[in-house]
Amino acid sequence: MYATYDYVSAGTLLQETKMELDLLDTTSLDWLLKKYLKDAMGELQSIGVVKSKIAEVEICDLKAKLPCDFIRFNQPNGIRLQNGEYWFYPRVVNGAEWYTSPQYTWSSWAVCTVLDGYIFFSSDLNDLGIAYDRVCLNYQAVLTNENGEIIVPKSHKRACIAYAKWKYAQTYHEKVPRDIRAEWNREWSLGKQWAKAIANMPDATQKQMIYRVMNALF
Amino acid sequence: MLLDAIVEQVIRAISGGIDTADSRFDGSYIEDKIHEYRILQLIASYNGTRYQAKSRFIHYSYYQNFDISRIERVQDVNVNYVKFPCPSPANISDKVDGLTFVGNRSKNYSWSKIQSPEQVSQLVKLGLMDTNDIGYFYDGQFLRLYGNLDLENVHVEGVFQNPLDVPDFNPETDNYPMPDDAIPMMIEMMKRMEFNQMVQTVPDYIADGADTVTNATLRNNKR
Repeated sequence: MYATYDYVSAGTLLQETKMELDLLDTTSLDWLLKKYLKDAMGELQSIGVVKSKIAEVEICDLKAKLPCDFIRFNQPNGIRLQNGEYWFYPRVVNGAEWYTSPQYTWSSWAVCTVLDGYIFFSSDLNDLGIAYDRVCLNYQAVLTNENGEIIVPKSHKRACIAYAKWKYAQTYHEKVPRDIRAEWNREWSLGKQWAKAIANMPDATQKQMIYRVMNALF
Repeated sequence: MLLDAIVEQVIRAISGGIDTADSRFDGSYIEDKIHEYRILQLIASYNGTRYQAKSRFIHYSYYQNFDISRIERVQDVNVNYVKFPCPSPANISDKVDGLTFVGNRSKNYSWSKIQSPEQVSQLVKLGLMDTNDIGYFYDGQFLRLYGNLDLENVHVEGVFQNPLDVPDFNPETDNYPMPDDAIPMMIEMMKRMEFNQMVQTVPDYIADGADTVTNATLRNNKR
């Protein structure tokens, strides 16, 4: 159904990549290709690929699992620790002091560090007298559809597939001739530039504003 | 073609049409050989040989399909997968095995194959198993399904080592899962790789203790 929408899902990209690589009898390379597509989406960070989200996760043994679509925290106050009606904002996140409203942070210097899909809290979290067992996250997330699959703008499709094919060719270099590998690399470079250019083009509202300005000028 | 008919063809082809009392070519033995050579013939056609170009195509006739329902008593405890019994799939090339479709019961969505238990660990560490994706790994007896512990049914389509192991396959009424035009090639392969030597060797009916013929005489076929 991707042909009717402006976004395509990671699943669609995977199937299209497999078709182009003639991988019709197996799913054993799916994970590898999914990783390459995920890497390509990461490299193509641009307008319209991320959105702000809020999630609440449980703290267990001074750590909390980050949502799978997490990219980075929104600043300020991207993290809020909670226990029922009690809550506060930690002051130091990933080694940097975040600006927060002083009256909510004076009680703690809890330090948060993001590592390998988890957020770790310093042990002084336990010294507060209140057991904070949940953390509310305000973060930048990758776009997902209703099935939880990552989706990207259709303009990124060509570049993502070219990247996955190029990386596949590097891994299985004996199966793909050198000139084809180079061609896929070139396709990725051009596709990346094209996708970024499309992402930076004015949207409908901006176009209308430009039109009005030009009308006023002439 | 039914399995019995293929067995008959093989016996006639290797015995030259002469009915002998030789029990080396009895039906059950030939059946086992047919299961083996069916896969060898498929591998030769898929990957190519010195005399045959690779086809990279598995003919539709090779496929068998069935549904498996969850059985609670076989499940392991404290693991992150559910198990479903499954017959052993064929091994066709370095990346392709007999399990060509493992997916949901509506047969429109397949899940991704996991090559080894080590790959499970890699996928967890890379965060690729955090999504809604389901992966499967065949452990020799069971399909382990990762990613959804509530799965109740699995649909499987593929090429299996022994077609008789596949649930609901009846050799007396169902065609043997291979194309008819590949059967002569399979028989040729069997003759070339296995039976030629056996047919040329004269049967030894005399007990070794009473046999006065030397091995050298046997080798020269001068009995």
